[in-house]
Amino acid sequence: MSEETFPINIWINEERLEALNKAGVAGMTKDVLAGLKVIQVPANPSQRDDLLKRYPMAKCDTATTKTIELLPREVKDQLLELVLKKGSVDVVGDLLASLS
Amino acid sequence: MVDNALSPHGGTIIERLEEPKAAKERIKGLPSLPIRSQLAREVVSIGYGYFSPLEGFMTQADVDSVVKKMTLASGYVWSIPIVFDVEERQIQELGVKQGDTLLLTYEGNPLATLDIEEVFSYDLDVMAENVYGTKEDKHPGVRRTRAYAGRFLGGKVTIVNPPKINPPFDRFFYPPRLLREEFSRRDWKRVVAHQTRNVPHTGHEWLMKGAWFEANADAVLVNAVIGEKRAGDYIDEAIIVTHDALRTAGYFAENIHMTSLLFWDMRYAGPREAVFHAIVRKNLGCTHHMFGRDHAGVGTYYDSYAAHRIFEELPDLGIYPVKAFEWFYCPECAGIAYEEQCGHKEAAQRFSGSLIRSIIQDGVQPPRLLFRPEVFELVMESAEKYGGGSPFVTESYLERGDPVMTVPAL
Repeated sequence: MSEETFPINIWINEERLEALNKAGVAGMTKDVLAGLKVIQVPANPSQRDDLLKRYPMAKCDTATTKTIELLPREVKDQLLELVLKKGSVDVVGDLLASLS
Repeated sequence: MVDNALSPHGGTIIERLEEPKAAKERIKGLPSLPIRSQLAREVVSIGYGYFSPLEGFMTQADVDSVVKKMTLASGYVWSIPIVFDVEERQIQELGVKQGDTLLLTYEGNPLATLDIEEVFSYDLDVMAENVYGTKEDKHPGVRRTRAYAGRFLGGKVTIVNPPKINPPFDRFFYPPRLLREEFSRRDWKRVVAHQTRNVPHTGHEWLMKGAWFEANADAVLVNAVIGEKRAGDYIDEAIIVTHDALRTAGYFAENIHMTSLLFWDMRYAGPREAVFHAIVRKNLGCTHHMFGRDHAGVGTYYDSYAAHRIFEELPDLGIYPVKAFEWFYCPECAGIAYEEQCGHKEAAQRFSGSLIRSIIQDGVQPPRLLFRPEVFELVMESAEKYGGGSPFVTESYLERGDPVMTVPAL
């Protein structure tokens, strides 16, 4: 059985979409919620706990969406930069490594 | 045997407001005690009758009965202890004893008097476990309870100097008597209350409209809880003006929607807090109260629908609970849908207030089907006007934000 993951939603505005287009990875976005674009970066349970401890204002919406929300915008920007660099959404480990 | 169905609770709106001239005389020579913002808000709520039939802070008999039986000593249902805590040191310094009257000051000015009927202690673990169903410090209500100073003063409160409610909140401050008069003027006989501490998204709007239908109501009363804030919450100014905007922008007809406020620091007591909300909104003149999933809950301490079921165990409270269940955004229906009604469950797109906040925090405007553009504009306007650029509570907002109420010099 694969480990449960908790996506971090990076919501895509025009600025972010331009960066994704430039890097040729705009196809990684998904259309959700009435056409809103998002990149979902998965976190495993231990990464989720680490993030929630580092950023107490963030929360894991266990009741509705099972996603990690309300991470500071600069953290989302960092995650997006890593996505652009790696061409992969598997970047939470890299983020945490850069923070420790 | 008391009649819990009486509206207001106990049959009378308890207003404890001294005339200005008499107030000056009343406070002469009284020992004064500065109070923190939570107690100031509760003094206001007691003095204006939101907490009827309470006339003041609870004595030990009331606290014990509320904690263990969920009723006042008189027998009226009441679910949350309303207590005035004080350090033993302050009692000694002021020489406070039963029969004395204290002048309660807020930010340096007289606010109210407290006629001390009793000085007592109470086991805070017993209080926490009964009210919140847990003793874990992770629960914010338990933390609040454990943070109480060691002693309590019970007795009647009288406001001697009405607070000034500052813009933009002033036009939403309708104490029970005034609000009941307003309902009567508008010929609203059936009013369903919507409890909020959030900027409304279309899910909220849908639930309010559903509750209006279900209650066959004349109107929806949005009653926004204004109290202690945590970093990351929406700022209070944004919450109150955006709810009003649902009417001014036409999402609710002019004659079926009204926004108001309640001074209260959320306890996150789940089902017990739902009962408290019902009683307060009954005092405001509401006949129905909407309860969604996880009403006033926190974390996983309460079952999602515990706040629905608790009313089945209580006598008729004279306010009917309107129960709201699961909803989602349906791309096929192109709108919000109830899970029980919509046949496109496989396409359901779920969202929450936290998710919308997350979108806004990322600098993205949510689609109009989730978040009304007029609401978004007002959120951003409130951010500039009141939030130092952020629609969310920041440390600087907590330190320097304009106060919701001020107490003028007497």
